[in-house]
Amino acid sequence: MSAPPVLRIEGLTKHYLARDGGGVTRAVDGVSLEIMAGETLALVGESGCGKSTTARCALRLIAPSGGRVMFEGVDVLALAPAELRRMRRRFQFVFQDPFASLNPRMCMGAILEEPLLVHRMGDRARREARVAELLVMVGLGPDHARRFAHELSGGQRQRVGIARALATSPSLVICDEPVSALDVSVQAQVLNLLSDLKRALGLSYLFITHDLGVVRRVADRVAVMLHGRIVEIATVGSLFGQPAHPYTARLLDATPVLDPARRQAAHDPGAEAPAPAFRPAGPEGCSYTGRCAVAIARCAREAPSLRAIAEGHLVACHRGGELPLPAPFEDAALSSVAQRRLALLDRLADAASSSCNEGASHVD
Amino acid sequence: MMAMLQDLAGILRRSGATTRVALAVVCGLGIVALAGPWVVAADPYGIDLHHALQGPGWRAPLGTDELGRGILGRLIAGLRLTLALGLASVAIGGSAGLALGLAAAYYPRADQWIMRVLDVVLSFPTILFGLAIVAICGPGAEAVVTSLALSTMPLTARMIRATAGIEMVRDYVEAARSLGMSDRRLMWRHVMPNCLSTLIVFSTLRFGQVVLMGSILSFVGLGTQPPVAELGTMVAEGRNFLFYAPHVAILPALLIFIIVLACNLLGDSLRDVVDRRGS
Repeated sequence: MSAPPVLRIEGLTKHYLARDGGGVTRAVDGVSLEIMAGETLALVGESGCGKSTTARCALRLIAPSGGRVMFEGVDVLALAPAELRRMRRRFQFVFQDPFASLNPRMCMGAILEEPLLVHRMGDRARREARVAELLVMVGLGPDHARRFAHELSGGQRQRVGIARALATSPSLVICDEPVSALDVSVQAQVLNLLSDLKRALGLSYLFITHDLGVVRRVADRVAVMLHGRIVEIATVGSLFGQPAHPYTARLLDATPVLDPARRQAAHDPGAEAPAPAFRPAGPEGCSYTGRCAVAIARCAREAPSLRAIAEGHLVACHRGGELPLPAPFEDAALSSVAQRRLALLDRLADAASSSCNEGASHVD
Repeated sequence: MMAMLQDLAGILRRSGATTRVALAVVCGLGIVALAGPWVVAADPYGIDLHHALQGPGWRAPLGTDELGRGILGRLIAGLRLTLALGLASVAIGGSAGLALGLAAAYYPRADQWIMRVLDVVLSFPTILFGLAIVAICGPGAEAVVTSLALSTMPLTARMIRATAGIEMVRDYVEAARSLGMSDRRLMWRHVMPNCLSTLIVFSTLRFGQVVLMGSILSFVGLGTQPPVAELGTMVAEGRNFLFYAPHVAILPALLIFIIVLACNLLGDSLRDVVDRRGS
């Protein structure tokens, strides 16, 4: 921990007031995170748990209700609008739906040139050269510059989305479910591309996803979110090996198993428990109590806060660390589930790289 | 620009017979209006009292009016003026409406003010605007254009505000914002171009209505004044001779009917195309 983190989020909150004044929805409820230089932090959780809102609030696409965000030592939430716009070249977004996030009326060249124009980077010739360079960097050809979004395949569109994010040479890229709208075979290509770019350009990623197979593949550390809070942060190895929060264990168990014979074995008897709505306004008690298989009386009274159970492994659970979790969560079973998914992604990536661009233009 | 041309080609490819006929009629009328005076050597203002109120014949292909002026020449001149008035009204009202609609969509604080003021404007009938403006600055083409543009503006603004509101929650706008661009650039480069197809459809429909409304204003004497050849004015003049020389009033009225019908049909089919693509 010698170098300062690229991004440090402290106690970030975003509360939405119900329109009738009836209550508060705590979409993000005191999230604290750090992303080191060159690190990929994955933010995982079920849909609606506040992953995307956290990222958007941290970089002020949505105004947060409270908290502090330091990006490269600058307080992002205190910046004046013009300063914030200038700052945006240092952190960029890759969005989930590559078709929706590209303006349908602009060709790819114009889309990639735009960040350079906005930040007044280079003259016309330099910008054109940069656009060509970006296209090559993400595995497309210079001739793609004249195409429109509807003329490209899903994978190619997302490559352009990534190229746009890299145009201004940012140090942090927030990838908001960058592959969940893509075919599995294309997912593998795009994930490989992101890993290669990270290594080549020294990027840091905040990687939002609900796919643990993807997490295992790209992330260094993982933060698990539930009802607007972080319930566990650990390195990929220890999170997949020894999940300390019962929710994390459930998430790992819920990773789709491709082999029908194994699907039975990995069945979780608690899986049918009703999913509660958003965390209610009253903050007493752990919001997972209703779905938790190992809850004790204390869980309903007192919300757990994050505490370290090992070096770099934090968990917000009264029973975290006590657990070897019940049967289906044993290390061997878990890691083999993850291993299978990983192996499949690897196979697809190999198959894909052997017919790289060919494949991309056929898949849509 | 390329995208617009491609859109247009796509619309033509997918369109039915009605669209093509309507488009051909609109284009044909436009060409006649532009080229007419140089092709048909008929003076719309040459008086010849010996040959007044004649039916169609050799001297005047579509007959003459009460002052012996050839109706064909007057129709062409009237078409020019009527279309020009309509175009000017839609262009002025449409661009003002576009700017106001975008501003209302983009600045929530300005939204209420802009829309309430436009609601007030909208509550006056066009004809009343015409009366007020004629009372202030006298009858004429300017009064017609002003009142038609004023009544087009709030309708366009509402349409654009709704469309821009939809576009602004799309991902590409958020992507553009996350690049760090200014509000103005975001609006003009990203939101506005994606509202244009709606604007074009709406303006086509509105053009038909505006031509009709302009002719009505001229017919009741609030618009262009005789001897200027304008379709509404011509109908008004010809109505005095409706029983001995019906063609004097009917021909310009028929031309108004054709313009309005073609514009409405074209606008409807354009809307169908745009809607289908949107869904």
